[in-house]
Amino acid sequence: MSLEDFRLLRDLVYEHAGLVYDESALMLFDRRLSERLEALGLANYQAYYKYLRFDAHNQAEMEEAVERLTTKETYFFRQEYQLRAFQAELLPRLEEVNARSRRLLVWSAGCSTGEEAYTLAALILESGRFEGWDVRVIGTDLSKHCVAHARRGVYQASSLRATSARDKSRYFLELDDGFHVAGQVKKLCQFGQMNLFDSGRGNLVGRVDAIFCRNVLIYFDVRSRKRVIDHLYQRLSPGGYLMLGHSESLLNLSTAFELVHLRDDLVYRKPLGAERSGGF
Amino acid sequence: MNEDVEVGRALGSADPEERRRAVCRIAGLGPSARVPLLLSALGDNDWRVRKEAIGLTSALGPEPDLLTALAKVFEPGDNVGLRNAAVEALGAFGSGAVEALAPVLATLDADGKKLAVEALGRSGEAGALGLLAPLIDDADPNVRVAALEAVGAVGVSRADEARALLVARLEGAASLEKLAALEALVNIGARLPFEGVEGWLREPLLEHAALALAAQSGDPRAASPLVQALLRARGPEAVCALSDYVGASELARGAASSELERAGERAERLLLECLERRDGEVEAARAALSVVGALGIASGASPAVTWLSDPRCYPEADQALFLLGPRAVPALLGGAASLETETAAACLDLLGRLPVEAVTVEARRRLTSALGSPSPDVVRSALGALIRVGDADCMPALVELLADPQVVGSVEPALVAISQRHPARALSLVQLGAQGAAAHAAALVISALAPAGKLTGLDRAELTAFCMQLLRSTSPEQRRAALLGLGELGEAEALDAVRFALADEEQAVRVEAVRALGRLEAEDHGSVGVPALLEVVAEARDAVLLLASLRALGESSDPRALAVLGPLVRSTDARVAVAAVEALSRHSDPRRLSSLFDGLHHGEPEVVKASMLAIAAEPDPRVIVHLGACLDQSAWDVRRLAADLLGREASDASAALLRARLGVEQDPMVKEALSRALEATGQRRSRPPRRPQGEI
Repeated sequence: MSLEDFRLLRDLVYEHAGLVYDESALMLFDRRLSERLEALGLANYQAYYKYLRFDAHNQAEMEEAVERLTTKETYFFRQEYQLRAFQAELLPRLEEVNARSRRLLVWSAGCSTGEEAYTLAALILESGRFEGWDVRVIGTDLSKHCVAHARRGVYQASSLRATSARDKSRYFLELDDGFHVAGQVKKLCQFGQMNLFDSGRGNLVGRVDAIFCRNVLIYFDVRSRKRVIDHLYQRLSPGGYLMLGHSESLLNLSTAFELVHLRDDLVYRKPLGAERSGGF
Repeated sequence: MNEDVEVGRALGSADPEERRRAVCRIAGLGPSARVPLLLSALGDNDWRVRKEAIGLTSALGPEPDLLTALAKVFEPGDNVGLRNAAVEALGAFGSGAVEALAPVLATLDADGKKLAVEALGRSGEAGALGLLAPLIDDADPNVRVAALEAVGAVGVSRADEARALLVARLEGAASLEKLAALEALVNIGARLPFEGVEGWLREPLLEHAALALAAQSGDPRAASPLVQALLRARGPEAVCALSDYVGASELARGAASSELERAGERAERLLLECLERRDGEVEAARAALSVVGALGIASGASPAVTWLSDPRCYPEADQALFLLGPRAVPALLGGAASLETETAAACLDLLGRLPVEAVTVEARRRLTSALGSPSPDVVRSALGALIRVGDADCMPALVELLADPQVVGSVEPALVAISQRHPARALSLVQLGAQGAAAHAAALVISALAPAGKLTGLDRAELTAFCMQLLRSTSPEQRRAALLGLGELGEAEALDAVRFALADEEQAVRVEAVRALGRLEAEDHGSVGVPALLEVVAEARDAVLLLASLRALGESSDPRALAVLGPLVRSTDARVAVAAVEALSRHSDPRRLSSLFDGLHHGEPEVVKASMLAIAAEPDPRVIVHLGACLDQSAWDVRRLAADLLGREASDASAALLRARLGVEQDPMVKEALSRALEATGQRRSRPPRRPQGEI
């Protein structure tokens, strides 16, 4: 892949999904997309670029390309300190706020293969606060393969490397083909394919009480991050929480959120009474 | 040394294998070098070399030089091997053989003519009849016999012509020629009057051919000699003739049946004995199976079952048992229990193809018990049969099989079909909270019953909750079934779950979500899914989803849909515009009409036609004016449809519009439609009284 090819493809990916790559990603592009040239019988990356631009099946191929570029590895109970804060401090607050509706909706935005969504469901169950409530954990990802994997809920041991023996026995069933997420956890989770860059699709999740969008913003440039954060803000109920990755923040992106200091973490909250975003 | 010289030398080798290998090398030589070498090989004294040469000749194709050389072989000569090989090689060239032999035939001696005639017979070309006709009357008896045989071989496609040639030769011919002519008539499938054939039945030499012709006649009088022949004969000819006879007509079947009955048990026993011979030729067995099926001989069912596992006779055995219908059931039940899986599978399959009323309770029980067979083929056959004839009792066994990946693809359609026939029992499978195979079964039942509005008798709230749970399934089919159910139930509380299904990774699920959204209703019957559908339309990224949303919006009759659908009528994407028109046509708001009128000005004729069809039934007086304007559109199919639609109006205005257009229309198809429409308007209304002459 020449630098020129890389730039053309990179800009196309940005246009489609808002994902940003600098020139150091040339090798990544070449490694992950070369199989597509073969599969489509194309001679070079210029032909692939034309295919993505003009072919009748370009949308499906664009999804395939983006999927190959973004698939990331994750595991259960990742960034444990943040999860502890969610369980110990945020869930009690949400229980109080939603006591009347008895509904709780949490969104794992950019859920990859579902480990985070299932982790959140397990923590909600573990808290013992929401019995008889309408609880849903929604996981969305750009990759349809990841979503299908998440739905299956079957994982290899490496995905459970940060899972305690107690949680393993409580929330998983070990079978020949791997660790199956337990029925009571699966029951709470729903998965779907969604591009966070795409505002219309965000509406499909409804109003949520908490959003986990960890290590996702790093794929976007500042303009796209602002757009994504705006969508997330609109999806949150007033008083709802936004959790980002440990190296991510809303600095220079949004002033619409309040910063909430928890014992173990800092999280963002949509102000109570806020109905429409401002200040982006 | 040149290759052709070398090949020539190799062809002269004493070693037949070397000569055979040399034949293979001829293909690589130039056309002029090839022909003499090929002829040399065709005349080789070793059959393997000749065979190789014949194969190569066919592969090289009908080259003119080669054809001429092969035809020349029939000139006087004493190489018998070469001449026989030439017959075979030329015959394979079809019309090429006819062309090559036409100029030389008259110049050949009797032996040469006979061989040329054989080559013509092998050509299979009806075009050879012209060359063969004079040879039927050749001075040489061998040529005459060969010519008659050749007419039988090539005359099928021009049977009348061939039959005339053959029948003309029968009168006064020698016995061998008569036999050749009769056999040729059999070969071309000629139906001679029985009275013409009857006499030859008494001539031992001609009897077999005469029997076959009697069978082909289909005459009821032929039944007796055919059954008598069965009683006498040892070879397969008699039963083959009887088989042809019962296939000739209903009348023949009736006559054969009576005659067999008259002949008593022995005739039936002899017929069934044909089904017992398993070694060697199975011609008699095939024929006997045809007779058993055609005449409904129940005692033949069990032997027929034994032939189901023999590929040589499977079609005839299957057909015989199928025709026996209910009378075959006991034998099929026995066969279904066979340890031979092919027989068991074929019997189960047949049970499923019998008329439903022929399938007994015991047969259904056997089909269900076959689901436990260790053979997937047997299980699949039983499942195929249950699709047609299965009752509710087999449902639990089917549910169990859903867990078997080898047969699950055959279980699903069976469960769906039976659910549709037995909805009440099927609904008992919808166990709320079910998982695994039970959830799978519930999904199938829902997808079978929801489209027909048969999800009744269960608690709607519980069923809604179950369907929402089913939406979390890993199987797209189950998620789709859940949405079908939710759409049918229409409960507003499913809105969030259904809307989120628009983010499903499978398009079929997303489309089903769109349909379901159009059907969710609040307690006041307002459409709660419309805002989500409007968002899909506004997003307009996925064409399939967009079109489905437009349809769903049309069905919703929600006033908010009008504002979206109206402008889409003008969409440059004809699919979208047509979908918007169709959706508007289902909408009940009278304001939709002005949007539909917009569609009449679309650049794409399909949109215009859809709009015309949508407004045609409207009572609005403007409709006729708009349809009349469509008579002037440039697309002929639009004008024709406008004529058809105006023809349905019974008004002076529509007749006037049609008449005016008829005066200027050039397209013959549209003109015809205009005339037809005018006629129709005249038929539907009483003519206005003619004005008295001179009155203004």
